[in-house]
Amino acid sequence: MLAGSTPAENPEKSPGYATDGKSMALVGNTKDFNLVQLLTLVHRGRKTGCLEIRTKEASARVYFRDGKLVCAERSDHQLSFAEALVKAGRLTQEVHKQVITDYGPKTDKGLVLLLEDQGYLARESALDVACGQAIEVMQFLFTLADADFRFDQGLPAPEEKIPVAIGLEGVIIEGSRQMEEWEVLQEQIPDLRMIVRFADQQAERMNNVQLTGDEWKIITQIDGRSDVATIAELNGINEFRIRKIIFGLMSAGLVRLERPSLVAATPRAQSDVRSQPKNAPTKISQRNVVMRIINRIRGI
Amino acid sequence: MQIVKMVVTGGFAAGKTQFIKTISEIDVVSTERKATDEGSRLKRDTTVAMDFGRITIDDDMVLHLFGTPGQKRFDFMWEILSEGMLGLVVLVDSCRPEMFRETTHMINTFLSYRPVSFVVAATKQDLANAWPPEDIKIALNLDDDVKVLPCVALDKESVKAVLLELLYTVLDRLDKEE
Repeated sequence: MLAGSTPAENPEKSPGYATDGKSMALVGNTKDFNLVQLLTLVHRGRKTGCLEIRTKEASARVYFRDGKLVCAERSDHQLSFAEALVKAGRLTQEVHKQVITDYGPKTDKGLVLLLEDQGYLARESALDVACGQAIEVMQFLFTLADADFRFDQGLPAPEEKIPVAIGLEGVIIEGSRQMEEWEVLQEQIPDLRMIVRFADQQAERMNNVQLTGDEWKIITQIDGRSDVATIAELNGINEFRIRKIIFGLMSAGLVRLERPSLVAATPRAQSDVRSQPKNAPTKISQRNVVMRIINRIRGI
Repeated sequence: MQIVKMVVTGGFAAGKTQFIKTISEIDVVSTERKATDEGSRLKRDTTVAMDFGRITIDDDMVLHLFGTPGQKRFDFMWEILSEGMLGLVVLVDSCRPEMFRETTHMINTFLSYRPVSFVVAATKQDLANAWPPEDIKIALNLDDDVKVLPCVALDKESVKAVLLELLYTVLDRLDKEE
């Protein structure tokens, strides 16, 4: 059972407990008890255990020890630790390949020990990258408004992982901010299938703005046909980041979004078209209807 | 008898009930109940089911106007109401910028159900602290071709102008689809 925890400041929004016969797990949905509330619970209760977050599309596990974040891993779209070292510039691709060739696949911890022994990597660098990976997973998790969760008290982090010890205060503050930001971004860019186009007179506006590297990458790929999701995929940018970049460019008046055409509408819209009755009004009759209403309203 | 449906939506106390009342030829049928949430500070009664108004077009046709419930917890009604609508009027209270985000959310939600012609009516334009429609358009992050019209829901001519603009928008759309 969760050690001395009563997460029920608001009983209506409290998650529930489930038992598998051995220990009790805290289970619920982030709609009712969000990730910030969960982390606050772990932080204040100095808990040790594993938090599993699951949606239809993705899942992740986050491990805590004494209320600190120890490691986090996603089941999808996550670089291996070696790839993360390469991406962070702490390890060259050649050394990575050489080590794999010479010593075979290693666990994260085994790889770090080996690289340390060979003089290719300092332990601090490895810890930096491990922290970065864990934070990145947390950032992703904050974007999941509707996910099932399960917190298993006492479950330790896997032995092979590089353990870090990240205080949750900063994660909670950043998470609260990100969740608010995410809400706004979802409202402004409700559908990733929207087409990105340049705004009118964007060329004049471009003279007065400073763009980041990522923003430039996006700008160069706007062709009036690609949607937000495609551009994100091409650049390996996650959903939160692409929404943030596009929103920034929209706010600066550089780009605008257009809904996909009726033909490529949502599955729901397509099914509406399919289910349209055979005697559905034609364009001419619809026009006639509208004209009759216009005439009537003018005369009121 | 052919029935044509239009939907009037908007945030809490944006003027939906009044808008329909001003133009309807029948007394608006609305199920108003005492508000029990935070909205009660602003409006003593709020629409918990829907408003319904009617305009007879001619012998064969009537126009039904439906106002959506004003409170978020009734948003499941939106999809039902949007079924088969000719067009959508989105009312936004020009004096309450804190409602702009919710209005954007409403527009996106309705458009996600099905593509539909719509106009935005910036209500309470007779009040001193009303935001101008062009600023509201920017605040709502609307496309250039979306019409944001000044409106006073108590004024019949103003309401007529909004409905006519919506109908012209529907015509434009039909033309483009041809």
